[in-house]
Amino acid sequence: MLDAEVASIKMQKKIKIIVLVLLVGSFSTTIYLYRQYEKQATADVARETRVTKTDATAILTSFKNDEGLANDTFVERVVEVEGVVEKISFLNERHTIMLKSDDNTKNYVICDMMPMSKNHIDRLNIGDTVVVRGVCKGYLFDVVMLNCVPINNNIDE
Amino acid sequence: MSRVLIPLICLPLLTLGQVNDKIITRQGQVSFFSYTSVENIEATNNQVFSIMDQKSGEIAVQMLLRAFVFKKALMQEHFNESYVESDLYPKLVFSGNMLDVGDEPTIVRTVKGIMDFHGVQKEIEIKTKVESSSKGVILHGEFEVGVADFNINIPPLLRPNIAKAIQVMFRFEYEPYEE
Repeated sequence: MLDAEVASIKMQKKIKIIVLVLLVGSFSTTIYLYRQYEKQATADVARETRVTKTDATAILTSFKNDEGLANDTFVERVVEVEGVVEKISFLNERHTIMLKSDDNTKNYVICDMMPMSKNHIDRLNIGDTVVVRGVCKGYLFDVVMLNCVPINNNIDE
Repeated sequence: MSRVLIPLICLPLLTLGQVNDKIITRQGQVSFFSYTSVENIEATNNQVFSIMDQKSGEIAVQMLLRAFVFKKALMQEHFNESYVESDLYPKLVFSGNMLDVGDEPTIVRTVKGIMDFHGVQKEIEIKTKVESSSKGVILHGEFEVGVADFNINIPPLLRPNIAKAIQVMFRFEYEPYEE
């Protein structure tokens, strides 16, 4: 009789532990899924260590010569581009820098800058050479890069 | 002498005329909205390319589907990987004509053409408002796109989350195209 009671108490303890583990597990999963759902769609490119470095002329030439190959090389990757500022635009309430190629074609690297880069852009002039890091999205008439941040600090100082 | 000179003088003028007919934007804005009782989804692309010949009314629009920015990363991931399959179909292309091109000051005009999206080519007709700006011309307006028209498969579980007709808004601020 006593053994049966002890066994019953042990069983109740086990059930309590299992229920507790399930509760903690489901609570943690819910929190994780909620955080994933609420995660903002902005990439932190400044901290990214896997970076493809290039310049405006080279990346534009790559896309013009073989768009498929260039897509495989650059698209959805963090790319650091060095180039000369051709245009600065504030259209659509965005801060955009356009970098030109050495051969002065009308195809540019369009860099959609992160809002935190505003001070940097305010100090920029047409003709400045800059290094910009961002996520390459592909090629239309120009190479399109989003989530861009300035890398060289010469103009900031 | 004049037979040689006149074409030489006229050539740059003709070229200048051609330059002025074409207008371009690299930063056209296209947004889409899906309203349902479960959730609202919206995304914006600020790097839409468009070129238009004001004389003939020809208009071309291209956009990278990956350049649509959502508020939530998960929505952006589902959009690109599951719905529009941007690896397979990276661009949306529209090629058409403004039907009622003319000098009359019409504010609303019709653009008719083929939209190539997600491997489906479909003829569409869009009403656009036309405005003049200091730099050139602004086209803006909105229209609806049926999800089913472009073979976009939505899993049954997620169907209540996504509207059957997606509302699309556009704004293109053109400037003269210098070749």
